[in-house]
Amino acid sequence: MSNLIDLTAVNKCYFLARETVGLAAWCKQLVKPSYEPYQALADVNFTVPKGAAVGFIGPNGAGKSSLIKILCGIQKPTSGTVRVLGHNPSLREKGFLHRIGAVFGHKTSLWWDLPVKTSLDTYKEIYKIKDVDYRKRLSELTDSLNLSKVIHKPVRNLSLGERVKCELTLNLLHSPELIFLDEPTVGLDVTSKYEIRKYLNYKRKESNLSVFLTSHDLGDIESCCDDAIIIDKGRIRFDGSMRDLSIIFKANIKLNVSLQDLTLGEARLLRFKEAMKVFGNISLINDGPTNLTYLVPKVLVGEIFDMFNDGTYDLEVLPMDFENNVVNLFKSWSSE
Amino acid sequence: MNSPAYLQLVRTGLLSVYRDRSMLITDLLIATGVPFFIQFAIWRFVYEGASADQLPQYSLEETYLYYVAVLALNRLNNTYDLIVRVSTHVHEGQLEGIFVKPLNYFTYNLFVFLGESILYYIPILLIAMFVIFSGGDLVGVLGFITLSLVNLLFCFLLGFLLSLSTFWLTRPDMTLGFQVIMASVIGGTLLPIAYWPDYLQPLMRYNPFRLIISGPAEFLLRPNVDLVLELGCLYIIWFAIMWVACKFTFKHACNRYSGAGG
Repeated sequence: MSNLIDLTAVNKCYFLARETVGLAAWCKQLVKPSYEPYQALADVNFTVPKGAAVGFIGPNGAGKSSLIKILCGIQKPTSGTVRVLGHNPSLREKGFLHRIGAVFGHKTSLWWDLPVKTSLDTYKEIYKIKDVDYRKRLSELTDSLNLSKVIHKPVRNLSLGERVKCELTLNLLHSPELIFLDEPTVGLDVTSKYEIRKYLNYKRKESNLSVFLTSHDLGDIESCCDDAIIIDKGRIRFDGSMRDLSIIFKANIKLNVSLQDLTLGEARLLRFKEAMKVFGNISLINDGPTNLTYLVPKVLVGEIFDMFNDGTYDLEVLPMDFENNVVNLFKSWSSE
Repeated sequence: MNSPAYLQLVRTGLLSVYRDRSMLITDLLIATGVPFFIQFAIWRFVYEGASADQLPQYSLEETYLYYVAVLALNRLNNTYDLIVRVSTHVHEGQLEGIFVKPLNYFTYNLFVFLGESILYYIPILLIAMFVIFSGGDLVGVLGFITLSLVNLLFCFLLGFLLSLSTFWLTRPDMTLGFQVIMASVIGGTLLPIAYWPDYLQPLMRYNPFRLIISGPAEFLLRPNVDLVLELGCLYIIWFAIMWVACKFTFKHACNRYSGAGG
């Protein structure tokens, strides 16, 4: 099976001008600037097969956007090999750019003061889209994303959700094989998120569109992706299917602890917290005044119930949701 | 890209200027009309106090025509929007959205700039018609129209080179100020070249801003072969310098560009 994306030993290092304190240091920096290296990506390797939908997950500053920019050809890696659709993206060959689309949720490529339709018409010519295809795709996109009343308005008058949906429309009009979505649903309401997710899933089925999606809303990843890559501090920490990820996550449960008699007060909860310290591999997700929530490996549940069977506490076992599992992963890595 | 794409970019540039009608009115009426009336008052006063042969080069009528022409050329060859656009693209990360499209950033800006200049070319045509109807030299008029048109390309190169400075600057204000001052002073908008001291003549004659501002105006007033040759040579030399400088600086800027965050 041919790979859509192929990354081998990719590193990206930024050089940031050193901050100065005092006039002398400022003058010295002006004459002879010195830079501090910042490793955004370190030895990144992965492949993505054709037709896949990959969710790219990571905390802020993990290197997600840097990697997307490298995959789109906006930036060059410091070292390593990148192949996307068989092309070296950094060469920005027209053949390659015609085959991809890229939506950056918080950046626009639409003309701010002009109606959306003007931007779409302009990119129609740039992408050399035939009139028939343009009309058909535009009609499909505006219907699916509920944009028919929006495309004749100036971009500056649109809501954030409308603008992002217009960006998505612009980037799907030329029917790309692969679309990069960098936090496309940031700040969007639930309806807009739903419309975007639904349309992406439809396009995947209908035209085998491949999706590379980064989002802090894990609902996007769960709804649209079959595979996930988790990155932290520039390193890949997980690369596998969503099913593999959920198997890992299923090893844990959420334990909700509250007092049977609320009048006993916080001191009893503190006692519970102290007692739980004997277990090394559990983590506190929520530390409330009347209840505590822990992430607990399934194998320890029996032991915990045995420890606290004196009727002081209510222990409730709940399945861990995807979001909490990821948060726990990030927390455990940040303490490494 | 293909011809329809270029035309569409020109149309988009035109529409974006047309949409900003307040700016259009400010540019065409206030920013052109007020300086002209100031010049009109100054030169009327100067010529009233001196006999015609004491002032070099131009009669009062020719001076008026010179100022009308250079003020119109100053508005036409204004790269303010270009510099602000590139600055916005760089600082707000919009460059990323453009870099993933199958278009050349230089070409994209060129055609949008040409579109933005269309409405500002109308005063040039009006001046040309006025000179023809008032019995002026047809060669001068044709040269003025042609030079103004051809110089748009050079003006774009100059503006694009200046706009690339925004890759290193946090705000475009310094570049905008520099462009306005250069066009006004060494471009010949404030004072015709002939009125500058001798030791400044080489700077005034051979700087790139003269090509886009006072060059066509001088030709409108005094069309001659020597001036065409001088402007032609200047055009070729400066065009080559600007072209190489744009290519080199843009490549360097793109390598330096790390995007506007995630």
